[in-house]
Amino acid sequence: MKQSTKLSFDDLLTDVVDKGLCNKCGVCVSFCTANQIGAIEMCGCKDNIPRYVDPDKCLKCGICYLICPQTQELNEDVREKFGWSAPIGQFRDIFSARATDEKIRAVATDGGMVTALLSYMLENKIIDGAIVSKKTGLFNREPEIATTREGLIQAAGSQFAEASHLDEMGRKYSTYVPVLPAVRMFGPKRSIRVAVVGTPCQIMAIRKMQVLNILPSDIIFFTVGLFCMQCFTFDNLMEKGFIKKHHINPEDILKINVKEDFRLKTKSGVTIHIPFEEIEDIAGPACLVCRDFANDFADISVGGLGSPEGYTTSVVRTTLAKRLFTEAVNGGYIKIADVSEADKAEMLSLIETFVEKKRERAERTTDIQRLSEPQEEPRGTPQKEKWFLADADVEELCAECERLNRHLNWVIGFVSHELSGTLGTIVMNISALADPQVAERLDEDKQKRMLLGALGSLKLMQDMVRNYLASSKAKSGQLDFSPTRINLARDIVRKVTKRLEPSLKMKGMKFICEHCDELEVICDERLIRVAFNNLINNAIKYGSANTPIRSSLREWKNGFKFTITNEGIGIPEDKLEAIFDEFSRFDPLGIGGTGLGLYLVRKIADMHKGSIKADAGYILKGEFITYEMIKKTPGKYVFDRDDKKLRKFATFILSIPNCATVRSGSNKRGGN
Amino acid sequence: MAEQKSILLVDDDPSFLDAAAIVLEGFGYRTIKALNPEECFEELKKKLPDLIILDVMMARLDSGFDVCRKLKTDDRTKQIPILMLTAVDKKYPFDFGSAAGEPDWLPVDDFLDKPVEAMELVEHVRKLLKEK
Repeated sequence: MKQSTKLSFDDLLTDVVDKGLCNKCGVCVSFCTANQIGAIEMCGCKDNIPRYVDPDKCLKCGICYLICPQTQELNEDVREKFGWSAPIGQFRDIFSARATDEKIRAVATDGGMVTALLSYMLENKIIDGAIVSKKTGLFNREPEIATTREGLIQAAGSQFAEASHLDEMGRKYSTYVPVLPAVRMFGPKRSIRVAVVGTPCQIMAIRKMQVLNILPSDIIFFTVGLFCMQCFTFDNLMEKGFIKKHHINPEDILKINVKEDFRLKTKSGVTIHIPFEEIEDIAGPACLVCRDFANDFADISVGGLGSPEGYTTSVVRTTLAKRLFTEAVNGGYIKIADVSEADKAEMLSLIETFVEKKRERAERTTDIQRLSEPQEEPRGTPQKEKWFLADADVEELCAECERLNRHLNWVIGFVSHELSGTLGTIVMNISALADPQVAERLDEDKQKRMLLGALGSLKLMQDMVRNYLASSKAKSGQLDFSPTRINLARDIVRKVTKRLEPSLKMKGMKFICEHCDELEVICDERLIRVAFNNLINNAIKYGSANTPIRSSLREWKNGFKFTITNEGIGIPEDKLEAIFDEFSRFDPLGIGGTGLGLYLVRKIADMHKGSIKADAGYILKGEFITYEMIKKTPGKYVFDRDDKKLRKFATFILSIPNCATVRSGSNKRGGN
Repeated sequence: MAEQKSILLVDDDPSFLDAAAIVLEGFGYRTIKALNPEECFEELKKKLPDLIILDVMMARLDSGFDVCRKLKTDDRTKQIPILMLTAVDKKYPFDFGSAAGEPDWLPVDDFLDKPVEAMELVEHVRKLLKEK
């Protein structure tokens, strides 16, 4: 953390505002006003950024700098306080929910769950008010304190009702509303409790204030966080030619919604779908460096993503949110959709995909910014001094070199061991067949087994070499990515399973695949084949002999989802994420491999803007019970986890959205 | 007819176990397979073999050595000859000729560097079982 005593609003201007990174949340002004310092204000101009109103009043306390969500100060403290963990932060449960009140649903963007929850809190005097955004003109929205259900309904949704003229939009429409300065509307009353609905940067600003325990965060009792890819302003949509490009008549826009893509609903009932990639250049610099999609630090995070039409996806994070949400459901304010555990896992996986997309965009943007920043050189510094290192720096560099050397030696040892082990099997098999003294003692069936054994090991070795090469290229950014149109069932699944037939035969395993024959996608054929090969090969290697491998290939989110499940050693709960790390392996049988197979599958999924996820658990009376299911209903499944006869399963789900060109008809069942 | 001799094969690679077992069975030996030290000791509880072929590196770099030391200090198993297979060269920092009590004591009766050819394995087995 920077030394706050040396900081002032001037530093905030230099580091954030002047660089165009201010997201106009107003937290700096909110603090300065609530504490009656009055040095700064929101300028009220088109950009609405903070500015000095009276520099002499600035106490140089540095708090405006610390609580600004763009400075990264206090981020670790907030993470620690909320027990944050990747990828979407702490949460207790996830639901698809909607308001039961039809009036709320009629104006809501999704299912009106937020309005229903806030209504419950207001009507039961849990909060005194909710800071929401309210329409003040046809296309203008401003922060407003709602104290009744009617007030909430008036503010709900991003609805554009009446016909309007372009000028009336005032070029002010924005999906972002600076709600934080509204906290000051409560004036000196400090005993009240309010709820705030906000974007990730706004919620982060509140949490930073709460970490420092400063006014006016004391009155914020509950936070509702919106999923957020980026904010839009009408100005930007116009300036970038977006409206023209998509042949949209601005007067016809009825509703804007952000789900799996950016959606504009028109009054004529047409919904225009636009992929996020196409609207990246509309986002402001502050949004482009933001990494928080799922609003990780809110009490409850909400959005349309992952839920059916008319429902709100609700990620319940804190104990307080869990209690209030349950009470609102029991009180008849909210209805929860009947979704299975598998559906929930799918919702989460979809959210995680967007989290990853936003994170990647932020990293990309940060890299570009860093490269374009001029490198400052101290004036009058002699050339040789630039290379002078302090003793502490030298020690640090030496320690890093030693660490890298140890890692390199370990990698060489690992690779040598795996390759020489496989080579040992090949030599044993081939030498037996080549030496007449041995071969004459083996009948035809045994000779065939030895040939198959050698062939299996050679293929394993080929896979290992391919994986090492691909991993090396991926690390140095040289992995080619050349998407072409392919038929997944014909070009990938059938070819890979045919290649792995000897291994399947050796273990007496049956490969059952439900697949869409017609599903055609735009993917890199070579990389997708490596991913499918690694997943299917793993299922064979770590599956028990004479058990089936079940897989399915389905159309999903305008792309595809490949799921593969085997019965065998399973995966321990604490390894579900770690098995995707480089050189990480859960291999109690000591079967061997590169330690890179799943790492590469994840890299390949990332390159296709998709995801890979592992799930595992036990097979009880033919039913596949995941760890998650056991955790959710601990009393339901009673069994001895140490029982050696207990059957285990492992599932991998590879999901790549938005790549399908031909969707398909019926699923077919295949296998060998 | 001479009694069929039994060999316990311990290796973490099931493909290698299969290949070695086919070869040794072709020469009239009965084979028992174990994928790790735990399975090895389980099998030894059931019946003692005439010979143990042990891979030096399993779950850990030196797990084969641990198994060796345990077998050679147990009265029940110390007479069973052990043939150790290594996937490392002879520069490996263990002294194969050291004596009991020494820190590097490795009580194997014979060892072979991997990769091993089928007939080479059979010849070493015959020698250890005093068949030639």
